[in-house]
Amino acid sequence: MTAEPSDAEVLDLFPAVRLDHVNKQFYTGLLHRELLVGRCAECGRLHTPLRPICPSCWSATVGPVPVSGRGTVYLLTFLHQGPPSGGVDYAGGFPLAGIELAEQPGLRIEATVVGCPRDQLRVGLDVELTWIDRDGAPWPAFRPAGTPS
Amino acid sequence: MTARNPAKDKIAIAGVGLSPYARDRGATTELAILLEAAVAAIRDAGLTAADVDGVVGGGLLTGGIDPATVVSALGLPAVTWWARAVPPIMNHLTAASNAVWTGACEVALVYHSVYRVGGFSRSAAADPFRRRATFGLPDGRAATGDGHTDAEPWSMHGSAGYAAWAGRYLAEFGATREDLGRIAVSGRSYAAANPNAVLREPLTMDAYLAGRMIREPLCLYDMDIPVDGADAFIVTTAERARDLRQPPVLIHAATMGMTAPPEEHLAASLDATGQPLAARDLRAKSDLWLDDIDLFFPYDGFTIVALRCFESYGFCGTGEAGAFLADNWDPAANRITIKGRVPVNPHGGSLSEGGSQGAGHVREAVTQLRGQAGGRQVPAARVALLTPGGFFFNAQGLVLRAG
Repeated sequence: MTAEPSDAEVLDLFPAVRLDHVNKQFYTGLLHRELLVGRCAECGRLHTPLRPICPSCWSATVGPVPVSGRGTVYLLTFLHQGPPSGGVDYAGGFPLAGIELAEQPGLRIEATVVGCPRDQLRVGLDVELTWIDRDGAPWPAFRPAGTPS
Repeated sequence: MTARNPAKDKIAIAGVGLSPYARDRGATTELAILLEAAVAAIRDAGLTAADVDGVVGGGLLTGGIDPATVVSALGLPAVTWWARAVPPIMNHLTAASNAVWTGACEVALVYHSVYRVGGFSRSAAADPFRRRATFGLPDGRAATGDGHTDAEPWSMHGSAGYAAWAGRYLAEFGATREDLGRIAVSGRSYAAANPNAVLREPLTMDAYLAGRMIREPLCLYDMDIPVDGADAFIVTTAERARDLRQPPVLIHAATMGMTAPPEEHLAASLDATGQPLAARDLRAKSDLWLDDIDLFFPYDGFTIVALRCFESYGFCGTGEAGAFLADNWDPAANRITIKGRVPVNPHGGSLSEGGSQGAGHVREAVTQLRGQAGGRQVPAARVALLTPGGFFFNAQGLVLRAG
C-alpha cells in the first residue's frame, strides 16, 4: 500500500477538477488504481458518483468502496471530434462508454474502452477495468473481459 | 405531479423581440445582442421601461447575463422581482409566469441570449475574448457544482450523452439513421420560409446520411447549429395583455420534468427520464391535447430528442417514432405534417434556425398564434404544443393558445 497522498498532492495531480472534501476520495483512489463507488452502510446500496448521503435511504453512513472492475457496455458513442486531450485520438472515433458495473444494476461510470477492435465494440460487451494515463495521472478505462494482461 | 393549474389561461405572452440569429455576429457582445431583443419585446408590447417591474433571464454557454446588468443597461426605474435562469426557456417562462401570478411583479421581461464561445464553436475559439467568456474551470468540469461532472471526451454530460442514448435507441428498437434524418430534413424544409433561420438550403436524405460524423451515431445534421442571437418576451396577466398593442397569447399549461438520476450515463431508460414525466404532467394540467393542436414544436437540439417527443407525448409508442414520421411524411414538401394538418417546427427548429434552448420555438409559436408569421403562417392556428429541453435534467412542456 502506497502512502496516502496529501490533499496538496491530489489537488496538484488533478488541476482541472473541482475537488471537494467528498470527491477527493474518488480521485485519491485513482492514484492507487482503485475505482471507488459509494456504499451505504445502512441499506447496502451502491451509488456513483460519491454522495454525502445515500441517494436511496438518505443515511449519512456512506463511504467509498472499491469495485471488482467487471462490467458491461451499456451506452456507447464514438467521438469524431472534440477538445484536445492528452492521448485522445479522434481519428476513427474515440469510444466513450457508459459501463454498467457488475456489482449492481444501474451502477455505472463513464469511461473509454481500449484494446478492442472497432467492429467488436458494441452495447452489451463484457469488459473489465484497466488503467490509462490522463494528463499524468492514472485514469480508469475498460477493455474486453479476459484480455491477457 | 399535480393536475392543479390555477393560472390556466390567466397569464399571457404580450410581447416578443428578436435579435436576429447569425452564425457569427462578429465583434459584438452578448449584452448588446440581448438588449436588442429586450427593447424590441418591450416596444412590441407597447410598453416602456417604467412598466417593466420583473426581469428574468440567462443564457447557457457563458452562464448568461445577470438581471442586474439588464436592469442597469435598460435603466429600468422600479423592479420588484428578478431571477437568473438557466436555459432551456421554460425555466425563464415558468419563473416569470409564477411571479406575475403571485403578484411579485406585473410585467416581466424574459430574455435568453446565445453567444458562441470557445469549445462550442471553432471560430469562436479563435477569439480570445470568447475563450475568456467560458465559465468555470478550463474544461467545464465545475459546471454543475459537482466535481464529478467531467467534460468531453471523458464524459457524457451534454452532447455525448444524447449520442450514446441515440445509439442505444437505434440498437434496441431497430431504428435507423433515416428515422433521425427525417427530423433534420423536415426542419430544413420548413426553415426555407424563415428569414431568421441560418440554414435554409434544402437538405436531402442522401446528404444527411453522408453528413460528417461528430458523435456517432449523431452527425453534423443531428445537432443544432451554434449561433449568436437573442429572444425576449413580455409576460403579464391576460387581463393586462388584452389592453396592450398585440393579440395576447395565453399560457394554458406549463411544466418541467426531472427524475433521479438525471445524469445521462445513469438514466435507467429513456422512458424513465424527465421527458415522459413532463408529458404526463402537462397532459394532466392541459384541457387541450394532441387532437386539439394546430402546431407542434418538438425540441430539436438533437434529432433524437425530437424523435422521442413523438413517443413521450403519445403520438405513438416507444420505438415507433420512425414509422410514425414515415406515415406522416409529406413527400411533396419533404417534411413532416402530422395527419396532413399539423406542421412540426414551422420555423425550422434549432437544427436549422439556430440553437436557442427553445427560445426560438416559443417565439415562433407566439408569432404563429398571433397570425403574424407572414409567408409561413399556418392558417387559423389557435393552439400550440411545445416541448423545450432534452431528456434528462431539462425536460419541459408548454401549451399556448391564442387569446
